[in-house]
Amino acid sequence: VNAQRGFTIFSPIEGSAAEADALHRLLVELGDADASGEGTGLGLPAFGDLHFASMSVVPLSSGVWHLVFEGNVDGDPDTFLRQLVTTSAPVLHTIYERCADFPAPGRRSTDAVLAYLARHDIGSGSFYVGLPGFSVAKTRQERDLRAAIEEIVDDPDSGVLDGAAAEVRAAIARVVLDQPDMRWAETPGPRPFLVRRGRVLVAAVGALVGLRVVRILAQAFGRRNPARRRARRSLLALLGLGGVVAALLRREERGDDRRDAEHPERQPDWQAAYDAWNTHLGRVRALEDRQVQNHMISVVAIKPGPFRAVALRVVLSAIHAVAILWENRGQLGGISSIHFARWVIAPGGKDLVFLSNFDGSWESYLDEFIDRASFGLTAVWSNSDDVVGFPSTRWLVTRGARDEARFKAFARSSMWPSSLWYSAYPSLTVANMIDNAAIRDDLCRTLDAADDETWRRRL
Amino acid sequence: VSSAVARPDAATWADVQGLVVSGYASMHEARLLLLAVDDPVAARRWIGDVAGRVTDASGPEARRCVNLGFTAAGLRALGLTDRELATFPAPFTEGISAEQRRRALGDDGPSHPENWAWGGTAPDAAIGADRIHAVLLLYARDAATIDEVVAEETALLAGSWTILHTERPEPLPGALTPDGKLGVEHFGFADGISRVLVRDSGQEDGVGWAETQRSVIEAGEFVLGYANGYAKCTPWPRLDASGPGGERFGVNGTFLVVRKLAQDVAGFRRWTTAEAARVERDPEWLAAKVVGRWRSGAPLALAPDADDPDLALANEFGFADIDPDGMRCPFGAHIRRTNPRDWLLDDPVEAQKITNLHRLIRRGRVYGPGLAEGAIEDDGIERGLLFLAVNGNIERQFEFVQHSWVVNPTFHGLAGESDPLIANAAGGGTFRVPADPVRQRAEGIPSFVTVRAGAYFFLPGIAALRTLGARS
Repeated sequence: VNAQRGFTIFSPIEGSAAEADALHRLLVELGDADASGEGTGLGLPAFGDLHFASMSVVPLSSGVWHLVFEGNVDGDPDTFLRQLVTTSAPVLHTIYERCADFPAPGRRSTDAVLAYLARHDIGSGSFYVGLPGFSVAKTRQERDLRAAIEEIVDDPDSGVLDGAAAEVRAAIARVVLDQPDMRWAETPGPRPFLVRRGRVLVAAVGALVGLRVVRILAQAFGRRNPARRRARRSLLALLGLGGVVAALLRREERGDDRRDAEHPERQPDWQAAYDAWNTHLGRVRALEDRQVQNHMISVVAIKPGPFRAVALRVVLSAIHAVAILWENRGQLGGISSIHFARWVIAPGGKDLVFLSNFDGSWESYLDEFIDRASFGLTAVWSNSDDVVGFPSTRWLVTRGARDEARFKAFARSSMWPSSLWYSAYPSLTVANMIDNAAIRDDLCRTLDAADDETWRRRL
Repeated sequence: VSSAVARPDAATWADVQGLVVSGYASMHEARLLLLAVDDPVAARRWIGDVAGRVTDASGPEARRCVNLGFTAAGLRALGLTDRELATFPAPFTEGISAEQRRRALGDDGPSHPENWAWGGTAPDAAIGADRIHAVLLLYARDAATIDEVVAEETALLAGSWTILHTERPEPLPGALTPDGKLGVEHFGFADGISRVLVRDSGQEDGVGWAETQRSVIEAGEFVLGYANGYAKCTPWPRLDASGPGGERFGVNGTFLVVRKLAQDVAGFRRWTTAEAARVERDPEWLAAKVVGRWRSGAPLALAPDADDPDLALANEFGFADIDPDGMRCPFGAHIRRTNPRDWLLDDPVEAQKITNLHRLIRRGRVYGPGLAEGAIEDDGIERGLLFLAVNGNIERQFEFVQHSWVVNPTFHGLAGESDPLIANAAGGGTFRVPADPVRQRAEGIPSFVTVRAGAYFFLPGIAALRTLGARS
């Protein structure tokens, strides 16, 4: 199986807000063309390995506007980009000729354009894939299988409901597998190694680390242990380091609270800043809720100073590791609505950019964040700032996002229109995809009565 | 401002409009007068005057009740500045018929605001969204008194406001369940069983533990200025003037959602009969599955097989323990979508807490006469529900329920179906009914409910009404 991978291409734009807006409008048009099939777009629906793609125009804190091209594909992003450059060159050129240092006309060979894109691709950063192993092909196949089974069940002439309940699954399987192009459904879908074994690996490493800690503790407090002095020194060093980090962290947080109280733009409070920003939001919201899924792009400034820079990178690395090893079955900290999401540090190192392809409305997405995953969210975003300012935090992870109204204002204020956005399976939620895969996986398996009932209830 | 979290006290309830805590059930007659400002100076003077008559939330019910709300266009017409209006939440300033809100609410086809009787967006609409400035809600015990009240208020409005339109809900008690305990809406189902009790209002006194977890909601969810479900204050609108009239203008205020929902009763009867025959079931069974309750009000979660009038008032149930698979009450049933109770997460206690961040206080009344019993052809008379809902955060409460629960075709793992009772704007909907050995699927569901009109109103506290009235 080709793992899902991502690219995020940041291209500086020549010109000011007016040029940025013109590009935004062009992208909206191109996106609409792809969605309706009328007119010429980028031709994204033709790619069998593309899950989601987006293009947005955002300002970084350097003052330079950037075109952000995000893609989530099966396998190597370069393969996809090469195909895209080959098939959609003219449209791609009209987009990118507004960007600085894009090859001049006459020098836009496939390789030159690819080299340009590669130069500006910063990868997928701290990357969360909702369902690793679910390729576009598998997702669409299983969606179609589900539809076929629903039809068979609804057809009184199919006879699949004539026997006992326990016979139903086998009867359905017979009808399905009768169709030559459905034979693949006989075997369960692939499951990537880390989905099967990631948690075991984490548990094993955790156990080793735990044993080591117990051993050091035993040495430090054991009587007449020869390693006692060394163990105690290690413990003290560790505690000391922890204390220093904690003190630095609290100093930062108290500084933020003070600045919040004193900042002239935030008088009388953050609401005024948000109210002023609210008019800008219309452009963002005009492109939302057009289907079951939604997209968001958020740009915030990383707080100044080395402490925040380090803290942010540590937290992002931790989230990336958790996403790869543990949270790889459709849920991230209890949030079950994310297909692909990433945090990347934009070129220049001053801005944190969040991109997400998710199910449901923005409001429900943020509610899930706040109600179920506020710790992780606070740990990342509290290292950053926008016109509203991140709500006050304690110990990096508490409070923060739990301040619902201000947190939503912070998040909204950081958003830019998802000018062009494509989804390969716009009507499917993560929950639907899990159901569809389970229906396929267990179609022909030997199941006990309870699991057989669970299978039937998924329909 | 928003960090100081207070709890309501007696002074609060003397300032909050009464509709928040009461549906005025003893007031059998109600009128909604939609108003437009004629003369801003005179209109403000009238507001200062009517503030003395507005029913608050503290006392026993009077012989008549008066409540008053404004649209964003109304507040602008009354002289609020752009800067002041910007302190109101976006759904209120944009209005219920704004394009992206309409899209999220599922108001399409015949329910599109372009077709609304009032509050809509058709360019030639007589009472378009921008034209409606205020709603005056009048309640009285009987028909004679309401006529008196309307005549008096009409006289007082003259010269300062124009009455654009009057909504006349049916008098209470209207149709009742056989035991007389509950009102019946036009499709024939007992209504108004699940309820919200506002914390610190006295409504929650003597309520048992389980019912408290389920139904007692923080005051700040409905009254601005107090702790909401996150133990924070929902931001409230402010005026530029200094002092309590400026900075605390929105405190004790709330938002009122009004939607006029026409019901195709004949269509509902025809479809349940025909579709039940197709899936070889009883029409009453299918209708109950669609609603989630039997006609008496008995919930399917407690009475899965047949109606049980003894359970008509039952509200003390969840779905997590007794019906996790929807074998009793389908996931897509109307009452399970609009109030999922303890079931959206694995942990029922947490799930109930999440649900309670999206509750509404319903104050609607039925309009139009009932369709003759057994009739399956429409009689040409419009009937339905004048839906009124009180909430402090339109986005997180009314709009969330409507978009993420009612309309959402993928609600909690479902695929391609919306609320079968109220959300099939396009017609041709489907509805999955879990059963053994496999689910049945009802099809071809027409649009039973058409949105005919709607608006969002701000209901200020009474002191804030006086502030408005005193502005020059």
